[in-house]
Amino acid sequence: MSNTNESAVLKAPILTKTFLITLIVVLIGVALIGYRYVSGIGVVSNLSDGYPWGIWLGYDVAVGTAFACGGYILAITVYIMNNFKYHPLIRSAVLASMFGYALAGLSVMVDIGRYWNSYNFFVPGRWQPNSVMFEVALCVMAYTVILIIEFLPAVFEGLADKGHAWAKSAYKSLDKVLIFIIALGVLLPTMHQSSLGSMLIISGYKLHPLWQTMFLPMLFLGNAILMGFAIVGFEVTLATVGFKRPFEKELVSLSKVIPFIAVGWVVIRFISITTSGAWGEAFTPSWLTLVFWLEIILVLIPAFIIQFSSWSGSMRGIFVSCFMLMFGGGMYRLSVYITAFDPGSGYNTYFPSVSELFITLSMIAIEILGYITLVKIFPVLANPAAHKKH
Amino acid sequence: MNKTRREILKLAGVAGVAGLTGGTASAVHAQVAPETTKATIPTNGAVGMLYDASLCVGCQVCVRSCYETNFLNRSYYVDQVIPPEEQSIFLKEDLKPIIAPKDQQDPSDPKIYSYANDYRFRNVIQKYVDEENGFHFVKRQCMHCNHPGCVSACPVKAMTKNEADGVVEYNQEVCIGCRYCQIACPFNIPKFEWHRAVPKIVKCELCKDTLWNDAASGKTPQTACTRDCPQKAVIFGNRDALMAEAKKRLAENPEKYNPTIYGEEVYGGTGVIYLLDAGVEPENLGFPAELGAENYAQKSEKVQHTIYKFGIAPLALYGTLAYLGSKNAKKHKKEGDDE
Ligand code: SF4
Ligand code: SF4
Repeated sequence: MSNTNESAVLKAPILTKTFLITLIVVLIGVALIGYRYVSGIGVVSNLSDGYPWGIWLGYDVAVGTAFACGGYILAITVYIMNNFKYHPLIRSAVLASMFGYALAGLSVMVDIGRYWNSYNFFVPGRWQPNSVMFEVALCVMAYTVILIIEFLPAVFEGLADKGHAWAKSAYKSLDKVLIFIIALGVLLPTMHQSSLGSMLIISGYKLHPLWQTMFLPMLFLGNAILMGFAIVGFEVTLATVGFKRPFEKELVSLSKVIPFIAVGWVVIRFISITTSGAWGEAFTPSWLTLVFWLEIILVLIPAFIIQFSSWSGSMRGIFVSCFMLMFGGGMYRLSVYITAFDPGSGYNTYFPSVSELFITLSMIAIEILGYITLVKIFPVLANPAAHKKH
Repeated sequence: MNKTRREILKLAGVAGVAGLTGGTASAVHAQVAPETTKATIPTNGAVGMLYDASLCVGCQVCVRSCYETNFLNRSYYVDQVIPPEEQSIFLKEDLKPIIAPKDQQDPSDPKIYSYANDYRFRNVIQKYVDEENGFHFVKRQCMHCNHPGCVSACPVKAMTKNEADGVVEYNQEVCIGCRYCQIACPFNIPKFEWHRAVPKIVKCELCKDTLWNDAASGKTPQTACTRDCPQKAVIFGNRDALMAEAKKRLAENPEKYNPTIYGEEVYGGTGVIYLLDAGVEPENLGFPAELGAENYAQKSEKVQHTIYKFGIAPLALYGTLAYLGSKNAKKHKKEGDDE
């Protein structure tokens, strides 16, 4: 066990005020979900035949899984790029990713109308390789399993520390094959995060020309990587403040790569606008034009702060930059799935209903609930005592 | 209700083009008539429909036929309790279900019932008002595209294009209700039963599973709308034959029609084709203005297949990742031991 003591159980009571508030949100959401199953999707949502996808897909899946890219990013950084000094950050990122993906999956089960038929994804005769959604669905399901396996070391370590001998040997045998699992944990997000972008190519004119492009897969992948870095910074700073822990300095050097990816992403975006001849659209006064430029600016400003400003060495600087990146990146995904999507006249423009929003809110609440509980049961967060070693 | 319908039919008779169109229509059907006895599928290639806007009087007999055939009498609806207010649309004599998108409706007609986005109607007639030329009717239903977006999008093969006759069919037994087909259809055709706990997708399947059985008894396969249209404004047949018929009509009366046959090229070609009145463009009738000959389904498939050709890229990537990963992990372990 090469990394014993690297992570530690957070010693704090599980039943806190935050816990109870989130629990209430979850319960209301569960009730609404029950109502949806009894009365149909139309009763709880504002979805229509023109706008068949709303925030359950646009936020919970498209944005939610991007927020869950921390595990992906750290797997690349630590194991593929050989930066083991970031290893202490990995467990909390994997935990958050696990919840992000599992909850995206749950949202899909709320969103799809004929959920009892979803077993067809496992019937080879029904596979439809031309369908982008088919690929996304399989990859996302597989990756959720991978994330659970990636989290198991923390579980085994926790149980071993409590004196379960079998857990210790399970940990050891898992450790031997773990790297091949982790390699899958890098491959699968690369595939489905780009495909989440490809998904909308088939909608053609319905997606505004500033967003509709053959570069969608590349842009979504770049966006996932950016948001992965941002979420790691965000989660670590939040855990530092929220759980009153020392600032993990690893973060400062990890954030240094963000400016390069950010600029690269903006360049691809500009190339895509050029190839689809949509620059005129970028300067016509409209809400969407504003959204477009905000998406660019919210990626460039954090890049600038991290690269040039002295602020980047501080926790606050990192927090603000990462938050902006998450906001801008999330906005880009929402635009592609919802804001910039327009099926033509004859439909009321989509805006989520209160129940719809509440169901999404409860999904987020489940994530928070799971996260703050599990870090108090298993050794997930970086061990402050072992900190100096790295 | 029957009175209204009969009146409409009379009106249609007076309009008096039925003789001409009736003849041409049967000529088309002659080419479709299958020789086989199994015969639910015409064996000579893709079928479709031709809608001639200049003949349509907006009577909506086709809407009613389709509604009866595919909603009221459909096995999976018959068992369901349909609330009276859902059934009553055609029972109210004065209710004329002519509809155009909200912003283009005829404001002078207060009895408009919005059924364009109603899952009970697979086929609708829309009425578009135009300041100069009065109004225009257009029939809307699934276009049975040559390269359908819905089929390409569907993750579980619930939407399929029949190889023999080109009909785009829906199979509720496997559909997961993800509604990607709605996103992918450039004509916004598939409808979803939003208010049902057990919903499904609804769209025109050319009456394949309801009326084509007639063919087994030696009759020509027909759809409800083409069977009942008093004007023969919409006719059913082999797509090539219908295309030839449309071209013939165009050549005979060039001043009467828009010279482009809608559906010949748009979105890579569609099974249902349209002759529009001279001076009327498809976008005036609610067809998407941005839609050209490009087929988004083929485009999307090209992107996907370029990335995933034979799975080479993913496999190569996995190999590289696993190699680098295990090398680094070993190195790290050694360093750890040295400490
Ligand atoms: S019109 Fe729409 S639903 Fe019909 S075949 Fe084409 S893509 Fe599919
Ligand atoms: S809703 Fe059904 S038919 Fe449409 S794409 Fe999804 S699974 Fe296929």
